Amino acid sequence: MVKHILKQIWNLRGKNIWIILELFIVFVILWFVVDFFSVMRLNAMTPAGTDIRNVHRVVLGTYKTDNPRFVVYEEDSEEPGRNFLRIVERLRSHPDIESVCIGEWFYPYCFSNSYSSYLVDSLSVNCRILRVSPEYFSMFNIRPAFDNNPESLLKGFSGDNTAIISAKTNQRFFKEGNGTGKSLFAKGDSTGIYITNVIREMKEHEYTRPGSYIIFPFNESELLRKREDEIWNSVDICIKTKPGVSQIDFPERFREEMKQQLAVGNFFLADIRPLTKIRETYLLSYGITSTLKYRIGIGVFFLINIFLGVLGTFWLRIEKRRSEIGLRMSMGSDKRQVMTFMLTESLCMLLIASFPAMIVCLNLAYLDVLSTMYMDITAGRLLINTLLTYILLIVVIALSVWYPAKRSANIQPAEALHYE
Amino acid sequence: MLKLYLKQGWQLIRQNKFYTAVYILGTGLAITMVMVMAIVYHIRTANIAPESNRDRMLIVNNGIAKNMEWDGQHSWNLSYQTVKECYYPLKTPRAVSAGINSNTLSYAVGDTYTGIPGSNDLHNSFIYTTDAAFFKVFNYSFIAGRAYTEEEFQSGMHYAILCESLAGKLFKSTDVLNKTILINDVEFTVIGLVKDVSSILSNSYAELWVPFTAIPHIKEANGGGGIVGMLTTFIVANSAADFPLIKEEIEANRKKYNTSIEGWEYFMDDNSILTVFRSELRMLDYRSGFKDLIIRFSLIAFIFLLVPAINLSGLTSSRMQERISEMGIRKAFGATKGTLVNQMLTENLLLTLLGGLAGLAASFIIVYFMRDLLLGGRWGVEMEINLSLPMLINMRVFGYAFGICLVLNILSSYIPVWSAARRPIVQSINDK
Repeated sequence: MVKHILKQIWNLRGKNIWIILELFIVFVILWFVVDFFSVMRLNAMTPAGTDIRNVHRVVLGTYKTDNPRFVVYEEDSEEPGRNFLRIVERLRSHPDIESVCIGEWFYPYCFSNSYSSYLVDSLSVNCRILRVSPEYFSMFNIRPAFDNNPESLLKGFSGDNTAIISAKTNQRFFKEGNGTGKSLFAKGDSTGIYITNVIREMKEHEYTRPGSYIIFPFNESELLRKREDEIWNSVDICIKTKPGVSQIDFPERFREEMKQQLAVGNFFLADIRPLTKIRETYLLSYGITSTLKYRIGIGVFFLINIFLGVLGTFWLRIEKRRSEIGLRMSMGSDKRQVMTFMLTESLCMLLIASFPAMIVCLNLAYLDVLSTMYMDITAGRLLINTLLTYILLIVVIALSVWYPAKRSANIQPAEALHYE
Repeated sequence: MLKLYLKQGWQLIRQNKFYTAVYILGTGLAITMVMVMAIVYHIRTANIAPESNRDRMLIVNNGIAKNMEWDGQHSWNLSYQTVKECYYPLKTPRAVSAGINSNTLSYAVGDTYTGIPGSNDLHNSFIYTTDAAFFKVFNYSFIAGRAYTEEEFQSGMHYAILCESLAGKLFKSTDVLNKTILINDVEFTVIGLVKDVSSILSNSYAELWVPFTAIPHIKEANGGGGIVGMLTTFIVANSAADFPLIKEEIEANRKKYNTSIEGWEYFMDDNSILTVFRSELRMLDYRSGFKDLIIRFSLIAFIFLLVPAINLSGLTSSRMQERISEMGIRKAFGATKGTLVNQMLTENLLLTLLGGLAGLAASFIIVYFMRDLLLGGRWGVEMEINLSLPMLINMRVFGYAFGICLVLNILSSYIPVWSAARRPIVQSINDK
């Protein structure tokens, strides 16, 4: 039957060329749209490495010189740092709070970050730097890569020249090996940094690949040497509520309750922001949410086009081909066979269009048009894209052939033959 | 003649409802997609008050300070000193202004909370700290009061201009002149009240405006040898033709300025001075070159038209099949190929325009309901996106829609119509 259909497609090439051309272009476009979603989906399947449930960011504000409540401190006063630590202390003693973590640009979905290169022998890796107090690991439920005991993370993790690295950093420096106990160096510095442990993979957000992290202990005594605006600029506080504390109105409740207690020196409590909210804003402003919606829109647009195109073509064609269908039916084809025939015909056209389309897709992938920002190009990725594109198109084509085919199959053979 | 074609076209539409429906749907879909792009483009770049000078405006948003010794650089906006040295002295432009919006400001002084004395109600407000010329660059519509003058700006007066909705929130009335408000606990006097600005107009949107000289730390907030800071500069030329002249003048000022700074250089690249169009493109993608971006978006628009056009070509081609005999007879009586092609294209244009109308309506609906996605998200803060009717319904948008219909009509029907008209008479008449 397929051979017969192919012959017929060839004979009607003048009319079929349009639908095949359209299938060709849409195949290529859909292939790329599908790639975006499959990469996103596959990435989202590996965890981000951090658990942000019940965690809130404490946003502080500072009074400026023009404020009546502004307190003037001497140039190198330790008081601003002490004020900051007083706030942390008051947060720690609150009955609803399980733990408080302070650090520099450390919490997940933070908009600011700092990167630097680190070396092992001559191998250099650019790592994102987190500086955290020890509560960090339990707050975000971070686990070591090579054993199952979260407590082991805190062992030896203190002082200037110790660090914990993420699995990605470990892999780039030590391949399969375990970097624990080895040393690495900051660029241009000969003091070794002792690696106390390795944690599991961590990502900037769900939809990307794991990043290279290096985590240093945050030095609280540093705070005493910093100016007020320096502290405000770079040091963040996160709190985790105890299990059972209602999350619904926690920020409002807590802010009302603690407003007076947390106004210390020139610092005051400006806001309590749940990390879930910060995550939403992060995904929104990095265009991840909007790109998602745009691509869905584009995909749907082209699928509807295919639907209309196939529907229109087959509908009109049935009007022209009544005699042919009547002939088929009088020669013994039943309704189902006529429908199968039409479906197979349209799928053959998809197959014809998909060969050159695949060549174009693979070439474009080869020419680096495919984004490798989030995932490398692998045979698996290409295969998944191709399969999904076929499935999408087959579903839409089947839908659009179904009605005209049914209509034509309902024709009485005698009536149809009359057109002959 | 045209009337006859259209009459016949109308009859055919009525006779063949299914074909008409599919054709109009296909056209409408194509026009919707492209019109959504065109409307967003229009809202982003056309002169819409208070941004009524967009076509002759240059935006300097990007400051780069290069360090001569360690080969590094600081990128931020501009410092007050740089604006004073390189931009305020410009002679060619009609007006030069600088300001800092809430988003940039929050990096230096945090969020802005407004309230009134004696009340505990605080509102997180979108502030714009500006100079006096800002109100010449953007045409805010004042309901009461006035803008601050150059002298008041220079002396750092604590004056504020409010928008209607914030005034309503704070005072529950519009009688606000000379009243006192608190901005982050500091007293300011209200001297002006303006109509609300839609947050879509991202260069002029704010809820309140104050002189940036009234906020401490701003004049001093800078880096890279004092070259970069937080200010964005807006230059309004007499016409777009003056742009090259203004750029030359800036370049001369920059060179002079660089001789006065030690160890650092005020550096410019392609992104330093942008027209409104280019600055909008930059917002979409900050990495690619402008040429690539223009090509990319034109290509997207073209594919949005091309795929439906191929689709419609298939339909037209099937349709021509039915009318081959009619065309044969017309030809036998002396109609030329050109006449026939003209007639068919006109007939099709009728259908395309119907589809275009439907598509335009659909695109209005899409832009309205998806305004957050299409037009929002600029400052990373949640805010109401207000669309006004004139932003959507105006001659330019209609013009775009009509142009797109014409292109789509030619793309979709020319080839099938031409190939049908080309067939020999004998064959055409015989076709049954």
